[in-house]
Amino acid sequence: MYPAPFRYFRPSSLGEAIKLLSELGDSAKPLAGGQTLIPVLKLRMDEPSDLIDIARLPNIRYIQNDNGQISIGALATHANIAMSEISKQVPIVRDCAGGIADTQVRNRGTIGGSVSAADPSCDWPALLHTLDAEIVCQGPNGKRVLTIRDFILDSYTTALTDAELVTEIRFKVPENHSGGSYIGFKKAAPAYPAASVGIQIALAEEDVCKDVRLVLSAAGPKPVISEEAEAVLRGNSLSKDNLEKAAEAIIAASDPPSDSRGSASFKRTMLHSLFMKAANIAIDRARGNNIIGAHEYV
Amino acid sequence: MSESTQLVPITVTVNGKAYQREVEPRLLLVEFIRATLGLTGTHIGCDTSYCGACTIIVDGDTVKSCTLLAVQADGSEILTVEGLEQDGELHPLQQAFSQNHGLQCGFCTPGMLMSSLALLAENPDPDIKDIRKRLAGNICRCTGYQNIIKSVQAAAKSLRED
Amino acid sequence: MEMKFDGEFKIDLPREEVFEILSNPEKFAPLFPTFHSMEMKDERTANLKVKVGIGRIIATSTTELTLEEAVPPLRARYVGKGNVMQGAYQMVSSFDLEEVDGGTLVKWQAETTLVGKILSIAGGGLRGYAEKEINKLITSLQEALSPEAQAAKLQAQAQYRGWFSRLIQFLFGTDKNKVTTPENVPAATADSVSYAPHPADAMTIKQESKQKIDHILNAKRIEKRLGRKEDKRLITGRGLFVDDHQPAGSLHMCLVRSPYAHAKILSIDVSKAEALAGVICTITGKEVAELTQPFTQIGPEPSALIQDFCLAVDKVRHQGDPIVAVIAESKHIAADAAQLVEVDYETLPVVITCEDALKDETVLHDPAGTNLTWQGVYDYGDVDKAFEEAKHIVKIDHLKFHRFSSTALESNAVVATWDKRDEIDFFCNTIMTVPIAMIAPALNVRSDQIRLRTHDIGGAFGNKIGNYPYMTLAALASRKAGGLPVKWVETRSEYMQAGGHGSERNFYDTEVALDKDGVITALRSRHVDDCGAYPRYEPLGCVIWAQVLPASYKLRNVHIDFSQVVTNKGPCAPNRGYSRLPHMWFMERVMDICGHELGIPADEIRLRNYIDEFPYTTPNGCVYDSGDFVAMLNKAKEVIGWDEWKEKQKQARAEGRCLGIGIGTTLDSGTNNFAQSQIINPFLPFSSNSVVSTIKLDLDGSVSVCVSTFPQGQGHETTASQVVAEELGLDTDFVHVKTGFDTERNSHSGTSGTYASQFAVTGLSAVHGAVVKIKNEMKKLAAHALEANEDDLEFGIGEQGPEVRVVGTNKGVNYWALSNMVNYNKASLPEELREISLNVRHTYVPPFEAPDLEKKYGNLTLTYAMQLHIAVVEVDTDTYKSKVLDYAIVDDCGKVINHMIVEGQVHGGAAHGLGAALVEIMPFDKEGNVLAGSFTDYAPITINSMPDLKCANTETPSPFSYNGAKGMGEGGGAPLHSISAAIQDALYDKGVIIQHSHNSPMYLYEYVTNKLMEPVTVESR
Repeated sequence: MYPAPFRYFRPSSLGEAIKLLSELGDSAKPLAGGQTLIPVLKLRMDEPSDLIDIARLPNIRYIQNDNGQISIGALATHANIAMSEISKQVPIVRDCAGGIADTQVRNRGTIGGSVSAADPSCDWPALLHTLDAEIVCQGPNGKRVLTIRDFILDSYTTALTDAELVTEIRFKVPENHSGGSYIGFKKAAPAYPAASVGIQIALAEEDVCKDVRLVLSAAGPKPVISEEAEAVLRGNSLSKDNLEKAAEAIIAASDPPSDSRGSASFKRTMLHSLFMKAANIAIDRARGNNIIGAHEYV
Repeated sequence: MSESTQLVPITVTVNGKAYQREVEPRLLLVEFIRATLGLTGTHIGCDTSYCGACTIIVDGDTVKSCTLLAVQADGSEILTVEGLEQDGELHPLQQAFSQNHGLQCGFCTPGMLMSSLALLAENPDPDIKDIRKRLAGNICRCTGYQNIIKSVQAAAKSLRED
Repeated sequence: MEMKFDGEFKIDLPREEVFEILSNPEKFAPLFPTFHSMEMKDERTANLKVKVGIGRIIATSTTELTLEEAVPPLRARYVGKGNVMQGAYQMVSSFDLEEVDGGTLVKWQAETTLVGKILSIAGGGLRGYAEKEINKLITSLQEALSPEAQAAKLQAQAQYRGWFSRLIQFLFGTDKNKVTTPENVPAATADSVSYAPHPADAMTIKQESKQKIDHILNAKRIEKRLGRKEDKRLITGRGLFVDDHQPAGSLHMCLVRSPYAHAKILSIDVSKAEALAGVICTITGKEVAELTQPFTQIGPEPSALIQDFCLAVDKVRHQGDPIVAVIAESKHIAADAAQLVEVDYETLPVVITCEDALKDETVLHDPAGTNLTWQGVYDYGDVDKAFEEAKHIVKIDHLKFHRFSSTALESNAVVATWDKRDEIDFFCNTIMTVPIAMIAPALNVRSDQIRLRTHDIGGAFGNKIGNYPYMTLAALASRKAGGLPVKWVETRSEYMQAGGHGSERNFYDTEVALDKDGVITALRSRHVDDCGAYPRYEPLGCVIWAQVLPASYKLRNVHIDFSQVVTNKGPCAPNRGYSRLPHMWFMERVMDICGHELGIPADEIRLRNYIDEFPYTTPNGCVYDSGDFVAMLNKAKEVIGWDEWKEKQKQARAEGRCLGIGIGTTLDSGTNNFAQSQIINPFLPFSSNSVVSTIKLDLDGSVSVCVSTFPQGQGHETTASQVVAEELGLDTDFVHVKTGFDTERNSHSGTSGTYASQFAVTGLSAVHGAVVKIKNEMKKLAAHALEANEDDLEFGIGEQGPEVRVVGTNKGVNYWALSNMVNYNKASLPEELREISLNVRHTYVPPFEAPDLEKKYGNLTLTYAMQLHIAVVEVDTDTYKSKVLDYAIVDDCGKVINHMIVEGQVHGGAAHGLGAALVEIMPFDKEGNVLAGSFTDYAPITINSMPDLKCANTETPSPFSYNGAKGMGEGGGAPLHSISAAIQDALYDKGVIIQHSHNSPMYLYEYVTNKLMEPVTVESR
């Protein structure tokens, strides 16, 4: 319930933060919203010697749309994003940002923190795959940009090197006649998702898929993507048959763990059900309909 | 870690009053409010940020105070349940909860009130879906939530009309 | 959690060399890639610290690694045990070496058992991570063993002072990962701290939110009447729950708990914990065994021989069993110190299931010699004859009621002070006075040396009856710490391990005899209850269920073989619906399954079987006071729109959708006859029940009431004041009911408490009796003061406040004046009135007689509230997720004293029932790991999963209570019955019979797809 002792620093600039992290080594942890780190500390699952508070670093909390090129500062909270114009324009973003945990957690948790944690059952790492997002990182050796696929490596493991921090997440607003949907299943809002699916579709015509991105979350050590599944749909009709085939392909590529949230078999079944629902909503949205998204609770 | 424990000076405004204290970095905000400031209305009901009994308003947003360090709240304006009453007069939201039996044991109530207040501040006419979504992170084990929904609706009506 | 790994790799070194390294702990251990440090305990044993982690969460693990076997140059085997991240593990690993061309083939295997909180946090799904870590370890071992690595090592050793410093340098990154500081970065050292203000770009967002909050805070305030007396303090954050009580100088207690479900305690080392600054003292089980008596056991021998102390003494019997108490100046230091306590365990086989417990191959309590706490047969009527004459016999092999809990939001907590006066003060949240009877003998004190008090309690639902061991421990801690108050507040994780959950029950070999109309004439069954590791309030549950033996039905021939066992799980405690709820669920399942098997609709078969005459004496002598099941069913059907839903169901079935409608009838028996405990153990000196209330006109004439209850939200202050106010013709504002419970008020009996659905009957009867007594005294005084006849007097309010006056006049005497005569002005009273105190006590004793212990026959409870629920559910045919489409509740609790409070209890009970039915379960793995170790895993039902409840009520007043009311707080858990029924109805065409009380999607999916149903057969003649 109470964390072990640690030292606390609040650097006033990103450079200072990076320097501190390098000097203190891997027993120092950055603290942004704290919605992931503080519960871990309270259970004493981790006992860092130093916390570097980066939540107030200037110029890292913004949501900008520069002619369709979206840049979100790493310190933007899930709530900030859910209530932004971007979310209105790109409903799949609101599904994710507005569906993480509950209101209180969304008011503090940051997109940068979520992406850096790479928790296999959490939403941002998966969602960003549907938008071909890029992650901007800064560290002692300067700045670099990684695709989300190159950034999330394994469960709780990213490509961040020592003392490197995520500073920005970038993606493009999907083209016209696009629609996406992100749906998760969990016992309750503040519980962890047991299975989630993200689908972003661009329509060529009413029922034909121009392009598609599919992702599964809580279905393996990292977000599950499948070129094979996407190939079933890309350039083809979005018939129920094709959607079923695509669902089957991507679920075959997944490896959901059997645990107290359900057996692997149950999770695969749930993933399938969510896939079909998400696909229908994505197509409906791509046709211009305003559908309010919601996760599924028991 | 047992050599001189670091103490961090913080300044917080709670219910309109400014406080300056020195705290250990690991002190949770909920402990700061309850033990350091003696405002015990905010409660602790779990240890994995689930139940929301510790919900307060920091800089206009509801947060779970068990998942913030006191040092993170330095410079912030905080509203707790004790701040709803003014000069002995109850807020219509508090009255609505009581009149509609939206509380039984009262342990979840401060958190429920803060979440409900924030909802009504943003949305003066919430429908049931809005209320459920906003209170999804506040657990009650006594009321079954039926009268809590009723209370929020009654408060909304009262605030619109009075 | 058990894991086995194996593999092989090749090293280009001769076998003797490889063997040399692998068989020498001093050389082998440092090869671990995340090796941190080590100490040799003896030449075969190393105590080492390695870092283990998942991603960026890295913790230090301490391990004792012993070389068990070495057969040069063939084989080396290590045994290890240690701690990692809130868990403990044991490991056996061996290396077999074979010579192959140019080198050595190492064949390795490892077997690990992991227990602890870490399992529950990871949801039992750690295998993948463990595999990765093991593979990483083997790869780097391989690399480290290679000739190149060996050569480099020698070189490194030559350069620096020994391999240890080399590793330190590696670890702290001064060699690799050189940090190049970007240009234009202000210099900062690890010691500088700067506290930056809010960045400007976030300000606007915050300003908007803040403005909105300020605006709503300034809403116009108009005074309005509040709902309950309790509310004012609770809605303003001025409730006083245990942790809100912060006496100056309080110390804090933190407990070290076992990660193992069953183990011997070999040794405990508290030295490092005690050395931490701010730690006052520690207490171990050994000390507790010396200083205290084991807690009284309720059961007969052999379970009476169980030795239950407030800390585990030689053995731990469940994950979370407390073994050491650490007392320190702050909660933080106590938690830090608790981590420093070192305990050595020797694991024992773990008993998790009833079936295993019954075998008695592994016995939890040696003094008892068996895991059986109680066994008895309840036999009534002529069961054999009824089966001979039956037209149908339905056999149900197995029904299972799961383990869950009400999880009150406030956890168990206490502030205990055992000071210089040698008196013990408990500011706590227990809910009965029975704990005094448990604690006093344990601590070798008189009961009157104990002050027990509560103020506000954040829910209990029965569970908190079980927290007296912690109170006992905190008292010992206070005494040891020199008489300072010691506070203990249970964390939620601790509650999930040991906080007192509802017991699980198995129903085996059920046989039901029915006549040609589907009326049940007889039932045979074998029930086994699982109460966790320590009985405590058990085995009382072995008779409590008999209060509702036939449930709502008129069968007269019953044979139930009932037993209870202990298992290596947290000790159970009464949980809302205590012991009756599992039985009611069982009977509803029986009714439902019989109906389905015989093709009789659910409502019809119930109508044919319902008891329809009241008062009704059940086969075992209990008396159902009043009720009308038929009226309730009709009302519920009306409320839910039964016919419309039946139509929709037809439609749905035609479309292949699984829509089900289920009925759940339940009873809530209240006001116990404690003589039923003698059916469990004839030596128990308990019978009937008594509830006390005192009322006085205080020195200034104000009306002050004490009820000996421990309310946790049931609104006792409000309803008690209602009763008094009504009698005195006053507004409830003039009646002051003391909050909570306090032995100092001297208003209690041995069975006082808030439990078992009884307040409306017992508490209010006591209050009523007391106010009637004081009215008599007041009349006598008033008659004297006003020179009038007592018969000409009435109670009401006059110009000078509450008064007694002569009817039809304004000649009255107010309460201040009455009190004055008695308290200050004795000479104003004639001799015969001077004994009047205006301070009266009334004890309500329900009209019970002693039961026949041999026949297990007698009236066990006074009143029977009833509920009837109807659920409409649609079940997804792929995911088995159930959606509640509609829900109706009809409640009958006799005469309703306060509609608002009654309805609130109905809602709350429904939420607990729905939670248990669809979301909440406490599973264990076979090592006894608690898998729902936190709220995040257990997921108590949230607002999103509660349907809108359509509630109505019927009223059949009880003939047995003065006010016609029936106690009703527990509710009877009907959603468990109705949801099981609705799901079965939805899935019946698929051949699904619901045999388990928990049907979350995850569980129902496994149940159906893996065909886990156990046999149900029908024999028709």
